Amino acid sequence: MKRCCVLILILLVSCAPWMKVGGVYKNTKEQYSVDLPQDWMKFNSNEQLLVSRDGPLLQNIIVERVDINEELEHTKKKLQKSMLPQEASEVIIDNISSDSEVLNFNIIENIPITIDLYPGFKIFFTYNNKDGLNFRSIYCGFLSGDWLYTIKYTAADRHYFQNDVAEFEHVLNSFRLLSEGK
Amino acid sequence: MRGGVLIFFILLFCSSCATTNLKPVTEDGFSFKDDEKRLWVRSDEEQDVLNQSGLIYQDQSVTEYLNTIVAKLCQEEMDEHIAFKIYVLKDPHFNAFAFPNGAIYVHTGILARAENEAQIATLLAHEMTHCTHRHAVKNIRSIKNTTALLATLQVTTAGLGGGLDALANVLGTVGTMAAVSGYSKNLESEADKEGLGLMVKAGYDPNEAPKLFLHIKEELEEEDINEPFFFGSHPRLNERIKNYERLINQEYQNNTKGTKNTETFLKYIQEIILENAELDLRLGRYEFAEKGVEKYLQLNQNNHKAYYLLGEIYNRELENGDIDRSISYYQKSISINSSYPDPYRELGLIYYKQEKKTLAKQYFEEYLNLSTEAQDVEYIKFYLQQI
Repeated sequence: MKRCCVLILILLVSCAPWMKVGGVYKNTKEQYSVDLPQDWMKFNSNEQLLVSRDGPLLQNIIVERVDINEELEHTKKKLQKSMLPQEASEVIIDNISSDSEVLNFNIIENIPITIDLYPGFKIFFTYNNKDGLNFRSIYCGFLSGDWLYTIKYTAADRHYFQNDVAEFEHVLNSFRLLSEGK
Repeated sequence: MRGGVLIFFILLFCSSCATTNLKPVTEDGFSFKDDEKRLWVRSDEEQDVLNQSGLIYQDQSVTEYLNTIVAKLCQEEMDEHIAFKIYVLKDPHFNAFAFPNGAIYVHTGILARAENEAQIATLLAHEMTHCTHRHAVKNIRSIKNTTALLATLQVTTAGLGGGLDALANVLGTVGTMAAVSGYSKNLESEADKEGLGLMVKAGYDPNEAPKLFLHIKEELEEEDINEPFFFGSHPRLNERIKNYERLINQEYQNNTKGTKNTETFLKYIQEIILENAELDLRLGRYEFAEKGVEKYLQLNQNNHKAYYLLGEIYNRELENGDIDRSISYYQKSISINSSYPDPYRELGLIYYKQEKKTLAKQYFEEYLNLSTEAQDVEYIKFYLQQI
């Protein structure tokens, strides 16, 4: 019986969809590292790095690498290696604004930034979902070869966005491409 | 949403073994049933979400114009029970749908591609018939066995493509049934027949009715969609065209005096054509966008925005792009309206990438002069620092 309980416990822990994280996180497959906030929870997924403190619907930070040759989800427009950050940001904006789950999409700011010395973009926007919940989002990214690296923060407009935006800025500023990815 | 759809259908399935033999609202002895009243309440809730989504095209003159077409189509006995109201949805896909309470949503995509008022009257009359003949409640009541229930849900919620999955995300259950899964073949055929009768009674040319299908065919081929979705998924498109042609030959063969109202229609719709082209461009549907702009330019030859959009199409299109052509369209846009900032920015970007620094600087500076509060000012300042 005891053995059985231990097995179940191990199974539960090993298959847990969320695990506590904090500090430097290296993704050798996608060739980047970031410094994650302490005691946030990371969703176990091979697709992307998703972390949250209170639950992904309240606030989440997502880091991912996207192949620019893959089709975008909501527009047939494509990213190109030769694009300036502004041009890439416009394709991303068209993709987001064509997403039917993003209602009343409104861009607050779209500015050039540097991410780990790479020229990139930072789009700050608001929207609401069909249940009427208001969200604020920051979408940062840059092109490197055939990849678009993105670091995104989305949180409920009320309380959560402002509360954790500094944590996001820390993650953004800590982003580094690993040497093989450069 | 999909879980909600499932629960909704299961509840309706469990509670309703009632008849589908319901009289149209126009017949004597008609009364709304309890499940129908619930459907109306749900329709109101779903409409609230849709109307606050930012997707409604806000041009009072256009919606008033469309409502006058409805008034022409509306028979007195229909009006007593259903208050029809038209909304235009900013969506470049070819679609329209009605809630059972008479709220009809018409996509900009269908308005932009229709050629005249008679074609849109066909569409509106069809949708009005879904309401007057109570197709929503009939459709739900007709789902009498599990296989049919599951089949309906599959149609309602599967990966739909062609903008339908996107639409399903924002609509609720009733809207999804009307806009995405459509009604049964018999109900759609009834809406075709009755709708055609309404548009003829209102004085429109019945020969215009099947022409809408040519536009649907074009979209289906372009988007590589197998099943038509406009007016529902059944009967299939070719069968549908034949039905219309048969109806016209049998019942309206000698009706050659009907009106098309092409000029009035295009006068009201022309700005939608341009706005819809911009929506197509955003989706990367370059061929549709180009056709839209060209249609608009036939109505209004000197429009700076139209030439700017042509420039954008040739600038963004990867496979058939043509930078020289896009430059000439941007310059044409500037020649029509020299205070419109956007083509200056695009010309600046083209020359910046071509390392023609003097030209790039000139256009960027002009853009900043004209557009001090643009969201991308920081990018332009950055480029100017680099030059």
